[in-house]
Amino acid sequence: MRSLRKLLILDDDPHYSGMLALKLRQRFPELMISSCERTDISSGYDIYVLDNDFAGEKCGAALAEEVRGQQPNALVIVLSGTLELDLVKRLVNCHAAGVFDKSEASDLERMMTMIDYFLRQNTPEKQKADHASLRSTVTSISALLSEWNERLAFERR
Amino acid sequence: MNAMCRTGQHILVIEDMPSMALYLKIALELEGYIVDLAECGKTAIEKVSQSTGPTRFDLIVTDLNLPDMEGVDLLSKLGAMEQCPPRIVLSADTGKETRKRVLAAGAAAYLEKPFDIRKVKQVIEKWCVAKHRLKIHKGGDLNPQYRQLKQNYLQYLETLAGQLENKLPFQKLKSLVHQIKGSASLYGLTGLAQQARALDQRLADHGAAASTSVRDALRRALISKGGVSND
Repeated sequence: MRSLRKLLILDDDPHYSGMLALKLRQRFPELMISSCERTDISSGYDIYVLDNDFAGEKCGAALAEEVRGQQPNALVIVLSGTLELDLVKRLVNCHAAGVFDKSEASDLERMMTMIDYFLRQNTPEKQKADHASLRSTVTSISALLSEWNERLAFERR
Repeated sequence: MNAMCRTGQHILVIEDMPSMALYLKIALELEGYIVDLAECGKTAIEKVSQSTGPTRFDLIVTDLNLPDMEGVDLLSKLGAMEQCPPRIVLSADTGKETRKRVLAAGAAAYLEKPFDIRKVKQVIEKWCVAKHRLKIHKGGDLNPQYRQLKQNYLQYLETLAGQLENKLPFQKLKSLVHQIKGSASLYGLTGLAQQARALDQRLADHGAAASTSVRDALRRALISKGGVSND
């Protein structure tokens, strides 16, 4: 049985999550997309898109850590209005894939590209093959660190 | 309404030991759930695939040791089905590795046997509520859905503009500006997104002292929808 790929959006703004879900469905018709307005992490999803700000409370990092604890192989993406060093550090530590600015249209495209890459790289067959591959792990971590460094350098300018 | 189905929620219990299955069925029916039983993985998959509309299962409670398949495999197979409900595992296997595998296979919760039925009921209730908070985005033609979403959003902005005639607590205003900054951009209202970004910065720089001017500026921006749309 070919497994259905699932994505969960956690965001307290239903207008945002509704439109994001639609744009994701346009781009990835093979994905089943769910959303939740509360910080309830449901397990069993391949991709998690987590808002950092729930009614003024910054909980993106804590949510990412919770997902990572439950779903070690899931793609974890955090959406934030601002790039804060503490948030970025915690996300790097729990191997989150990226943090994107909700108000930047170009960031939405970058997020889509990351999801596309994840879906292509993480077919069930590929997952098995890559599991023991040190090279692929090292490549993805160095790409992640280089991405963070670039973004932080940009923020400091 | 019959007291035996007052929650209206359907639970599938997958358990091959008849006494345990019956115990769970009675205990959960007394809590108001409608309970169906499956004694093996194959029957469970058939029942889940056949459950549609109002008879769709809201939750699955499963044992790990089943006569015809590995419990972890069953979790994965169920998870691969469209709109699979949350799955709760009850197992005598207390190993950390098993717990990890079970959660990675998509289980919502893992409870050890022998279990405290009160704890099981609490977890079931939590996940039945959580399931109803989840919105599943589906439907064939995306264009009408896009138009409807955009119309709803524009109406929401108008309502907000009306509400901004009154004073708003600083934190709430901050959160609102932050929210508009993100959502306006996604809806193609780039002018509004830019104005919200500038207001967000003004609040960050001047704090509560800027509340009144930011509220007025946001209200004007909402009424004009930022004046620019690239959609």
